Formats: sequence, C-alpha cells, structure tokens
Amino acid sequence: MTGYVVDDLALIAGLAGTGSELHRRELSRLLHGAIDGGPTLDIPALCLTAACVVRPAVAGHLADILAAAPVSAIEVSGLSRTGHLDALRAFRPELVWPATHAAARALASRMPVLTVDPDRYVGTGVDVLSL
Amino acid sequence: MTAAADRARAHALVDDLLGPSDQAADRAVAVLHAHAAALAWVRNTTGTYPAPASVAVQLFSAAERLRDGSDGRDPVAVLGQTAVDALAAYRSTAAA
Repeated sequence: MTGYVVDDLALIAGLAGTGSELHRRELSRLLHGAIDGGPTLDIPALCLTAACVVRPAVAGHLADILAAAPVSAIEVSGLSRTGHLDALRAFRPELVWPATHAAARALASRMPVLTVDPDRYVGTGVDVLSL
Repeated sequence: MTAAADRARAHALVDDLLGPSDQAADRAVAVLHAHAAALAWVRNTTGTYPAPASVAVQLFSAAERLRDGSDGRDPVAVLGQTAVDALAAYRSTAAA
C-alpha cells in the first residue's frame, strides 16, 4: 500500500486557507484519490491539532470525510513512544512536535512526508515530498 | 448506506470543503505520485529507507521542473529514469 504522511504545514496550506489555490486543489485531488483507492493519507494527530489552531473547523470536516471514505483510506494516527520517536527526540530535539510526529509516522510506515517545507525534515531520515 | 453511497458522500464533502481539482493540480499530483513511486522503487531496490541523499536531491530537482512546467514530459517516465540513473551514480561513487 502506498501513501503519504500529511504534515501540519500541508494541512494548514490546503485546509486552513493560508496556502495557495494550488495547494487547496492538490489536497482536494489527493483526498479524492484516496477515496477512490489511490495512495492513502496518514494524518498524524498532532499535525491535525496544529491545523485546528489555525482553523478549528478542520477537524470536523476531515472527520466527516474520513467517516464516509473507505476503511483506511484516510487515517488520523496517534502518537506512541517508539524507538523512532526516541531517536527523533535525541537527534532533532528542536523539531516541533507536529513535525516530530509526522517524521515518526514516516519512519514507522516508510511512507514519505508531504509538506510545504521540505527543509524542515533535514536530518530526520525520512523521504520528503513537496505539496 | 452502501459503500458506493458512502464514497459519493465523501467526494461531495471534499468538494464542499476544498472545491474540485483542476488541470494544474492534477498535473502536480501526477508528479507527486510519480515522485513517490520513484522513491518506493529506490527503497525496494536498495532495501533501505530513506533514499540516499544524492538520489533524493536529483529526484527533487526533476520533480520541480515537472511541476513548474519547464519539463512537460511524462512524470512517471522522467522520474523513473532519474531514479535509475541517480542510484547507479550513487553506487558507483560508493564503490570507488
């Protein structure tokens, strides 16, 4: 199964109105694709929380979509203490929690992180793609 | 609700929230998928994650050109070949 870990910056750009029209439409295309059996979208809970600080309604909208989409097409993932999390905290302690959560999910799933700031993940040991 | 009705509802919710996609976004996402597929090929070929830095940089540069319109070719073909060439260069450097 292929997919993407969507970080808080991509969520904010696409869903909270701070990004470009292209960001919004790209995220629309990715959500439609996931619903139709394309690459899955993993949304770390701390990334969703950060997006909700900018636009509180984001959580409800995404939950509505997740609940209607096929099982596992779109998931909000929890934060667990793992070896990946410990390593990220040791090597990149300055990284904000949403980014740490996204990187930990990427390391666990071996999926790339989708973001609007790829430089943020330098040194984390994850594949990164630009929204 | 049937699965088909659920899916239709999910699509409608996405359109209500974000609006439909368009040609530019479709192209950008096609590049994104091709970029992800190229990274997955590198991962499967080398058995490691993430891709070697030099390979990632070359894929990123090629993807940027495909996204901004300066390269109008098929993203799957371009990024697939870029991955093959970049990995070969990485291996020859590493073996030297």
